[in-house]
Amino acid sequence: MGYARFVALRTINLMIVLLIVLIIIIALFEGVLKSVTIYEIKTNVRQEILAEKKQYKMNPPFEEVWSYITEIRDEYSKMYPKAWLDLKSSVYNSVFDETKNETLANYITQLIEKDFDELSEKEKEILRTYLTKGDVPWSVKVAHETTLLIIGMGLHRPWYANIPFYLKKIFFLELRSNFLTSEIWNQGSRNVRDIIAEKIPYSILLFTTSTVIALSIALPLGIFVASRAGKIIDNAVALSAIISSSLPWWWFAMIMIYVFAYQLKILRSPADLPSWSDPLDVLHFMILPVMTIVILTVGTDTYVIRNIVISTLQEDFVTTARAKGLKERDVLLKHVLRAAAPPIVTILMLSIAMSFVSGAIITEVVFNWRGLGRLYYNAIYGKDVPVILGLTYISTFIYLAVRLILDLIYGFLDPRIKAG
Amino acid sequence: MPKPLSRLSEFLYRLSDAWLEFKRVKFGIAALILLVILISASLYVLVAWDYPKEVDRWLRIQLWVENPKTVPPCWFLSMTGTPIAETAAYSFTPGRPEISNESIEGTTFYEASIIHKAVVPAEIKSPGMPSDVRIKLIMNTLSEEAKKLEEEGLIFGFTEKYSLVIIRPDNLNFTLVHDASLSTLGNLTYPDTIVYYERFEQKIVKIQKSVSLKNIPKEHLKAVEELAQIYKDYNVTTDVIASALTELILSELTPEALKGEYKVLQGKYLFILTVNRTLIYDAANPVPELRSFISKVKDENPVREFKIYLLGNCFGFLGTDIFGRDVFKGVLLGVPWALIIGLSVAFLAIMIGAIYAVVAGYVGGYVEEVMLRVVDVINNLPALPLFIAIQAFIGLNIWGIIGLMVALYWTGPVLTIRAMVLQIKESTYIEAAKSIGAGPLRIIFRHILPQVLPYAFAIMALSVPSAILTEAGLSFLGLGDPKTPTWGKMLQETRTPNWDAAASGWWWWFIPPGLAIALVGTTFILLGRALETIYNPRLRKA
Repeated sequence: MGYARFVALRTINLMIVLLIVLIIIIALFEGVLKSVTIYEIKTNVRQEILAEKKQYKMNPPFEEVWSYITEIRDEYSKMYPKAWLDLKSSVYNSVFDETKNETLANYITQLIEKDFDELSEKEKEILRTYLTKGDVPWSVKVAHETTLLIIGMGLHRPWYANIPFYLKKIFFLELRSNFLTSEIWNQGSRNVRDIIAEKIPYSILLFTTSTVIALSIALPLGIFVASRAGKIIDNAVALSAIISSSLPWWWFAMIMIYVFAYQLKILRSPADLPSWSDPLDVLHFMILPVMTIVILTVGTDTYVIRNIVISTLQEDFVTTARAKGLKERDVLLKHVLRAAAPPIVTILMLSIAMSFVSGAIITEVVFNWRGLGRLYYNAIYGKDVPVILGLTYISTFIYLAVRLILDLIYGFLDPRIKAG
Repeated sequence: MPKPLSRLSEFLYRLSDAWLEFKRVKFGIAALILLVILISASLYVLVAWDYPKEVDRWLRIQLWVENPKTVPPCWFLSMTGTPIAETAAYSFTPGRPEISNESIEGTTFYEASIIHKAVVPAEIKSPGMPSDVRIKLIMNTLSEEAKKLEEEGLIFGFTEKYSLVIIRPDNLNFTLVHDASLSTLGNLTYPDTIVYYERFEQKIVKIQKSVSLKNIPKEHLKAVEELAQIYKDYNVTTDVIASALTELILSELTPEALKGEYKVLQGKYLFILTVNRTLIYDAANPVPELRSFISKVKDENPVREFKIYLLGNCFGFLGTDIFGRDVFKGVLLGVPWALIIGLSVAFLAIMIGAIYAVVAGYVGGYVEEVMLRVVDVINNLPALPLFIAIQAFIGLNIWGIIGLMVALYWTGPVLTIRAMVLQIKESTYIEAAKSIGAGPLRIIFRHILPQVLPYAFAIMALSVPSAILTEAGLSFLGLGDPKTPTWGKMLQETRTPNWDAAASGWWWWFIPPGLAIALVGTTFILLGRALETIYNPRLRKA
């Protein structure tokens, strides 16, 4: 009962955090999101209209074009003032493309501001000629349809009114990238979900492999060092923990690459990309990154385990166990480790989660590792806004999910919480 | 009865007390020494140099072309036993123009040819191989003006040809450029050099260029063919020669040189630039424009500047980067920024967090609950992804980045300090203060905050590295402040799609900035640990 309540509380808590992060993202990038969405709508509408144009082979009559214009001018521009500006600029651009005459384009843009009945016969004639010429009516139609869709989706409202819309869009990653495409599963897809999803397994593969290896070294070492507090090996572990937490991982990665791949030439260089479908090749490629991350994390992990074990050793039940005459080995393995497991698991899992949201992910860039970090790098360099937004959301999501799992495990391992 | 201490002496007493405790922590002393070194280095940089000017100079890469590029430090070369070549610059001496003016039979037309020469004597004194030869030219060109006169029918067939020849100490000569036109000379500047045409009334009157011999496209260099002729018995392709052209031109032409074992040919080298102008004009034509043009062609020396830089094979204490900048200088320029970023983020964040925690702990009740919920939310925010998102769209400058880090990092110490406050709140002296009518503000700031501050300082020192690391990470992703010479920015420049310092073995470029980050980080972590062992109530109890 207590555990269920604890689980529910933690879940709600982290959901709130995720919601807040998403709302912060939306508040910050509403302008970008909106322009990305509108751009998408516009592209779709333009394609449809182009298809229509091909089908009919004849331009729509002037009355139809004029009704689109007046509709936007008189009705929609009240709700969404930008629609009118967009229409005017698209009329201007298309007339200019048609005639290459700046003055004429300007003149027509001014004419469509007026009521049709107020115009002189000559002005009416000019409008009749140019608004039905070439691409002009089609671009008016595109602007009209786009405005209809934008207003239909409610995008003309202020940002806070659209939070649910954007929440859904980001939550299910219904975004389209600017230029990055997916490489593995759904090749060539510009769906942000495809692009990001295919990279996650690679990041997880790299960081969990490294953490598991680091942990299998750190656990025995930490227990060993704990029994030797204050000795040289203890100080060495502390120092290595300090140094590895104060240097940029990606810089250390560069040194590892320099030494092992280019100077000693015993490990594969990151420039020599593997064929990603061949597991053995990927494994070979992975040796250097995993080695680097293990070296960087093993000191800190050992130090953390040592601290936890030492503080557990000072508990009364250890004294009791020793007083009962238990062997030191049994005291350590059966009593101390059992009590120290929850904090150890917490901190180490947290370090995996942290690697997704800390500088560790940048290490992937240096190693040319096809994960989220490298995708981040590519998206930033290409200014691919939707991908960056999607990555921000996904890394937050992973981070929070791991924290939640962690809480659940912690609650499961710690009888005090389990009992409520 | 003891005299009550004055405020100053109380402070001094406390300070000396703290020092006595601090002195016992050995690594604390080591950290303090490192901190003093770092602070004095940054003070030296800020006071002894004109810092903003030096930063500006550092950021403008075109100002550094006269230094050798990506050369190792000199001490490293002498350690490996490679002979050192110093960087040296040589200027030109103008020669007399050779003028020939022949009349074309049966007409009043003349064919004039004027050759201007400029000679640079350069000398290689040491057996070290220069890393490159850089040629700097500033020339007046008349071709645009002549084109106009030609259109008006005043002159005919104007040509302006440039040649550049090297005469070596062993009297062999190599032609770098032979009778090249202006456009060919322009092509030589590709890819790394700066050309700017000084435009005056839509005419190009001046060309300024600085071209490195290694970067001239080899198809423009006649010297490749000349060397191939010399080595024709050795069965080598021109590609091999072209790839080692600079070295071959400056070394003894032995068969070993082809295998890369160069022996530098010491002595005097002559670099000769020839500008050959020819034109046909009508001597009987009295138009003043034509007269002035012809006197200009004859008298005016087209070469305004012609300089040869024999770039050395090593530089300073930490070598140079790909733009020829002094790496050691860059590292020094980064010291103040690392301290500013680390200390200001740590100080502001921890102070805000400490005050927040004290207020929350003291007030209690629903207010505390709400305040702690806020902390929980901010604690769960993933910092780096948010920074990346914000920086990718807004692009804050360095102060904005600092503010952003403060906004996300201040929650770090809140929970621990709040727990401390809950203990302090129950102590008798707070009760005493309350009983004599002290207000909550006075109690918070006079009685509780000073108690938690020492611990806050420990946390402050511990959080300095993460601020520096975050900034470095952002810079490495290209999201830093482009106008701030931080170490992260230096490291970002070592790795681009066009070059990779690690792959090319330029360790002197990418190791020092990271080492500096690690040094600053280690210093503050050691300092923080030392303070923590003294002031953390939990550790003290144990």
